[in-house]
Amino acid sequence: MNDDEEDRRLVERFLGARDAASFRALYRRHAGGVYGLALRLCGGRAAEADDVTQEAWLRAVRRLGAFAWRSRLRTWLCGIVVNVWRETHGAAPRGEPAPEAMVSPPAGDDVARIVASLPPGAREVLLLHDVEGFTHAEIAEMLGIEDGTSKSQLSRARAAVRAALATEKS
Amino acid sequence: MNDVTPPPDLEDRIVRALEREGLLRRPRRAALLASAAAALVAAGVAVGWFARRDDAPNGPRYLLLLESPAAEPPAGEPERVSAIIAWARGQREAGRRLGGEKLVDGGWQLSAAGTRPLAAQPLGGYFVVSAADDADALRVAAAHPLIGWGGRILVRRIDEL
Repeated sequence: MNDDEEDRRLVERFLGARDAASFRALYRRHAGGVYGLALRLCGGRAAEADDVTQEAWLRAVRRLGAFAWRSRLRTWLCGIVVNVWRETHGAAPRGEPAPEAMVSPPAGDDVARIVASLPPGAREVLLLHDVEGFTHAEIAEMLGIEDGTSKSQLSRARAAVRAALATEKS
Repeated sequence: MNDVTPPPDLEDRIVRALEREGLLRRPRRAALLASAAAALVAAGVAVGWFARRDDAPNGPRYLLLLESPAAEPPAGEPERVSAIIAWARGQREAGRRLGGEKLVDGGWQLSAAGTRPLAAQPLGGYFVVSAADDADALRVAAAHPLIGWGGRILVRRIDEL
């Protein structure tokens, strides 16, 4: 059974039972990916990532019956994470990650700190493409943008990271 | 992909939130266990489980941990109660000592890392029954109606030393 088939099996089981056991099976399959993205978007602040993760799963469960399988389930879930993060954090002033609350990456990780300071759109694309491994097509669908926009955002984000690293070294 | 293991308590927190929002069905297991508890009381009264008979075998005792099925079985509650009473009566008539209790849903898991509340989980009750040997204990467990309802029973021999 491949990954998509297993996802379909778990989703069908959940939609049929709507109970905690079937949800837990689905959650555990994607918990690491969903939480990892939330944590990186939140700049390593674990408490914020917990809240984003919880809200993302609530939304996913509300909408799961309408999921049409036009994308991978993981892509869809990560798209919800990004949307939740945008709504709850994206408009807020960006600050330095709080070292005391960071789980991953550790304080002192220059690249992670610089990524956390990028504008929301650039940060999303950089994390989704270079860290999470999504394609530009998947990112475009997730974020509701064009493929070309994803590519140009990524290019700008990488350039910003390179420039910030060069400035810090000089 | 770069997965990160979430905090261990986050899963339970999300499940509780889903339950609060009405996005998860209430476990139907509770109803099944309630009937099992009723049967336990009824059967205890009916067949005198806890009074040891003089001719009870002195074989080893076994712990039977009852895991309820996730879904409500097709048999109605009166039928389930009758089935459990019949099973208990059969053990009594075979001269076995038998005791047991229903467990309340929930509970806690303790470790060096701390205390973690347990969400709804399948362990719903237990019996302690005397049997001639391992094979006999397995026959006793296999005859419990819970098996036919899709539940599971864990059988462990009690170390009497």
